Amino acid sequence: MAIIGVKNLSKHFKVLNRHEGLLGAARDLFSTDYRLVKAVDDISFQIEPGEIVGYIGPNGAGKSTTIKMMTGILKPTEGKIEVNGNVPFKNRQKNAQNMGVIFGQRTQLWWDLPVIESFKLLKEIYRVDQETYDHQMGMFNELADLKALYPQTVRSLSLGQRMLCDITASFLHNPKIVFLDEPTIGLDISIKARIRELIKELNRTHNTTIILTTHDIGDVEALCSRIIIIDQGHILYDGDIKRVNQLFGAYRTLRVQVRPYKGEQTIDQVRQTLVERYGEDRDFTVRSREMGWINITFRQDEMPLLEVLNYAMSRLPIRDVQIVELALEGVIRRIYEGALQ
Amino acid sequence: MRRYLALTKCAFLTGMVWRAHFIFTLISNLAYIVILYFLWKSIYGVSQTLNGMTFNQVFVYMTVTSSIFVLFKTWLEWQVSRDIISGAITTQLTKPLDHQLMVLSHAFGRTLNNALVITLPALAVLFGIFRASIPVGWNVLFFCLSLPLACLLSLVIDYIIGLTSFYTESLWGISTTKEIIVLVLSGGLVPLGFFPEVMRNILSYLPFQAIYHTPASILTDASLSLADYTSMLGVQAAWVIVLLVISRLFFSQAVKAVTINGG
Repeated sequence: MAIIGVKNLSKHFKVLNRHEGLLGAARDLFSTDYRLVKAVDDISFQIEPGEIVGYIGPNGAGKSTTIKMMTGILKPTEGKIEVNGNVPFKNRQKNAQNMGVIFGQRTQLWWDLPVIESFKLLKEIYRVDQETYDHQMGMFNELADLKALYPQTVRSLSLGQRMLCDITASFLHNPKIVFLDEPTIGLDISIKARIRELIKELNRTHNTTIILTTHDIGDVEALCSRIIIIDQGHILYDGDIKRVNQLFGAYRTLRVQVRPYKGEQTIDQVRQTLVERYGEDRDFTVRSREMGWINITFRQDEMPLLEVLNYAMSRLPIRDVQIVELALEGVIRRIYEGALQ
Repeated sequence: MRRYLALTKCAFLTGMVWRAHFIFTLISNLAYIVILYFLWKSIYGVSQTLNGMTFNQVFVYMTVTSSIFVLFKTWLEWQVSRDIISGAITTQLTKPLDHQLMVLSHAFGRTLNNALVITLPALAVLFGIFRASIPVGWNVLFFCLSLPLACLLSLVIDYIIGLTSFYTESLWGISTTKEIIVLVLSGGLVPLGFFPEVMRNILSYLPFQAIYHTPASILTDASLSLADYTSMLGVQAAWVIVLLVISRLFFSQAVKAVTINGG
């Protein structure tokens, strides 16, 4: 039995066409020149209890709009949603009782108060009994080591600390579903890893269904077994992450700085070194980039990233290395080009 | 109910963080009371009564209305408007709470802040330094009943004004307009007893006089009968109910039209 069912869901917004300049602004006061934006256009999917689903797409794809409809904040223009047996927009409060929500760029914590006050407030709001509260707080403390943060005011927390508190707070009442909208936005690698661990653990212990929207492919790879890719209001792909993984993983780019850098000569040296190891017929490119950086792009299945890195390090006078993160936009472009057919 | 009281508590605690705000509001309110004293002293000159009110009555009336004005100043409409415009309202709407009750209980916490750090000191000055006197009788009891109703009325009007941001995405103009209308038509600026008969009759049908004029005149006038008191409270209660219903309908309508800003 699916915990979330979405059928032929659409959301259209009317947006005023703004005109330029002073005259335009005056015209806009009386203008009825609207254009229809289809933020979400006829999408359907079902989510089973306990799943972690990555809901991804570029900016403006319709992710947040879908989440807002599933949480009952926005009313769908057309179509059906059922969350946990409720129609979200009609039973917003009832639906909210079994739901946790994080919008990554906002906080549900009280800015001017010590962290613990927000937890106490949420305890009352969701009518969590003392025993459950103590148990949950104990678990959060074990997972994320939060106790030291409780007496601090929220405004004095770092972004990463605040996000840890925000995420645990959304699990306090043991919800059946948690929506995480960009939970790792603006965070550094180590705190991202901690947050992913935390989410994974919370999902495992309570079998919580988690819908995760993100721009970070790393989040998706670490957490989700299934992804839904949305672009311009349409679903492009819904299914196992492994098939898409081949796309993500198909090409990786390694950036190296070689000293001393002698332009073309160094590029040739790098190319030659790799040819010695992998032979002429392998599909890779070596290009020079700004500030003496050299980009090596290759197929992950033919040349494993770590192997290339180790080999290059042992043969070349390498001063600095970067592994380029995969860009979601590139993946989506490849899907459009028919890579999944 | 406990959930909303917990919200009130958090709002109260937050309010206590803003020490500088309270100190300056307290000082400006006290300065305003001093100005009122000398202003009305000079208006009265040698006369004993004007428009049927003695100097003492007018002074107490004006001090009470100005203190109530500060007491009810919770910035509720600005809070609601900011939440709507910045999109922070999305986080609030993901909680299993009624939006109106949530906003009102939050504002109520602020009212408690104001009462503690502004209104009570101001009243102490009124009776301690200026030796103002009020008749003591049923009027004090009915004043205490009338004040919470007035507070609710004022907050609900602010709530409705705040909700207009769903459509206008800006609050300044409409809020300052409301402020002036309420202040003048409610007796907050000049006692309603100084208004012409016709005007007073019209105003008695509007909700505004129930905010400042009703509690202030109940406190200063002990000559009213029990029936007068109860009918005044009845009018307040009726307006509270009407505006609560209107604001709920407005919210459920406005939230449908919502395009929440900021992703």
